[in-house]
Amino acid sequence: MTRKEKIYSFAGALAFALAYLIYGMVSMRYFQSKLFPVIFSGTVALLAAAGLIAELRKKEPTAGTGKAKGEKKERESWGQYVRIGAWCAGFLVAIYLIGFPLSIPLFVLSYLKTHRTGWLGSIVTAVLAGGIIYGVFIMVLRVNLYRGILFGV
Amino acid sequence: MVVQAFLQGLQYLADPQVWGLVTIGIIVGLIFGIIPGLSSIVAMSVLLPFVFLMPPEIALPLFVGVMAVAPTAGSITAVLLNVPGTPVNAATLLDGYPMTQKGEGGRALGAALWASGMGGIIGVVFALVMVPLILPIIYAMTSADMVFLILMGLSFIAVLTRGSTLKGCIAAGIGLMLSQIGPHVVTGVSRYTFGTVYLLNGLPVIALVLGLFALPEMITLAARGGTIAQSADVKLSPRDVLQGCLDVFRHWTVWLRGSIIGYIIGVIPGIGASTATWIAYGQAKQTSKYPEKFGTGVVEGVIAPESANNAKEGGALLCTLALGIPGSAEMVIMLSALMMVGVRPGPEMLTMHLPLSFSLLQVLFVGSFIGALICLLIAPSLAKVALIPARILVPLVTVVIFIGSFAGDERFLDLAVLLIFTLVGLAMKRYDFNRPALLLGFILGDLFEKYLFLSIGTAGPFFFLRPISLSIIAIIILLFIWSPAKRRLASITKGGAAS
Repeated sequence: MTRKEKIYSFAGALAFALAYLIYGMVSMRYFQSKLFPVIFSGTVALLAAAGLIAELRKKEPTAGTGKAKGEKKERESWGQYVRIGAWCAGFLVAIYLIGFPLSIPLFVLSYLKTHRTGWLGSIVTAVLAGGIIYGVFIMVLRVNLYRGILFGV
Repeated sequence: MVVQAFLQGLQYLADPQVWGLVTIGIIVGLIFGIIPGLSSIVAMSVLLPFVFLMPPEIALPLFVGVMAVAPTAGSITAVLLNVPGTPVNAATLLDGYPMTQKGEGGRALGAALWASGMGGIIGVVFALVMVPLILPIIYAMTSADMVFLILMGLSFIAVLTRGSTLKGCIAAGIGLMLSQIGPHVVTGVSRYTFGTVYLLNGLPVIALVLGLFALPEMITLAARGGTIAQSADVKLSPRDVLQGCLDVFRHWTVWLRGSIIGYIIGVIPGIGASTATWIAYGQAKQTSKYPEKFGTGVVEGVIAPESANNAKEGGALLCTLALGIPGSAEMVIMLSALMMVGVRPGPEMLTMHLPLSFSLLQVLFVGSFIGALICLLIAPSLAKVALIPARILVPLVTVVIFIGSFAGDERFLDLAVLLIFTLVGLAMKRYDFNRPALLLGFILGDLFEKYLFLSIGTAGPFFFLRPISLSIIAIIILLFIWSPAKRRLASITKGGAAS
């Protein structure tokens, strides 16, 4: 992990803990109820601040050292994460609109088709996935799967 | 009483539903254990939503089934394809794959699977022997001791697992912070709900677990793409496999030492199975008559780590059940499962729920044996599972994760929580923050606060002045000063030697 990433991670934890601490102190009335949120978030804020200060005080390593280069090669980029994350977000939107029963085969089909799978393989897998999910969750486990705002009401 | 509880535990196992679920657990454990990049943690996270309506004696064996076989299955790809199925099988590569290259793949596989299966069994035997010994301590514990026991569990996970101690402590602290969302145990005041009804009962555990552990692994797998293993064209002769099994008996001291190391490390929370396997490998090499041959394909180099990787499960399970301190990340998920089905982990498990604890250990015993047997019979076919392309696996498991998040409480917003914690999980994975520590803090936070208020209410501000509490406090302090003290001592010694 690069120094910049370490700084960002500690800064993120510090910001979250401080926001939590301030909201806890302002929003809660009783001492007993705010005691632990304040202790926990205060401790995390202190630890994150200590980590951040320690990182900031370290000397900047020479740019493009072998280790840093090696690290970069080994890991997936945020861009790749965002691309896959967009599929998950799209799936969530699809569930919200058309519900689980329709969005599951649609998601599987579109994912497989855009990832170099033939039409036949994609359709068969999508239908099988929909069928198995229907059988296990609706028939066996009796889960009321969300049907979406377009078809559910 | 202990014998009676043991027999009652066996009675639970007479229920065919239990065996149906154990079988499902074993199959899921085999698949997730064998696919590199997935692990028993992901398998257990994905199974979590399926059990929320089941009684504990039926639901929990499902998870034990996964735990019993995942490390065993991971050795198949390690030996045959040079890719460890789970991180705990990494040490097996050193001698397992060279044996395959020398044409002794069947022997290596037989030794790995049999050593792992038998290691699991001996781990359970050790755990069963331990139960009557720790019962008097459990009976002597009060809510004050529980406060420090929870702190000790968090400290072990934060300090001893991979990554920096500071980040481990921050992760555990954030988990504790998140556990504060919802009603306060004493005053009933709603905290951090932002005026919404959705957060009145706190964050959904299932969505949080799946978001932290399962979906980030899927996203990483998708980002990496392809298949991790390239070829699984392996032919094994049954005679070679049998010879490998017999090797375990021939080198029984190596197997026993590995199992004992695994069990002890399993009992100590937070160290993890990977450490156990490397220590077992190291001791086998040190005590060998031909240490220079290790790494070139000797069967002892396969037996030692494999016996340790499964023996640790018995110790870790006992520690999780009896003290509520999870020995590994898998056990943190197990702890979530216990809470979800309405069982409070900790001393109650060895008092009120002793038969259930025994039945879980018994399932682990049988599961380890069955898992090893299945692997031995169909190992070459199982190895082909590792060739399933990520592009097929990812959408299918993602769908199950989304439905699993929703199925718990049937609330759409749980899916939003899933995605938020997926982001958190990805960031933690990338920046090397300890995800099990966060989950453990989240699960134990409520109990910690409850026990603390109870202790202060009953014994006053000096509630900790009890022998057990003081001993646990001493252990926590030692835990935090041990590593810095060791480093300082080493630098002084090094400085002295240099001058």
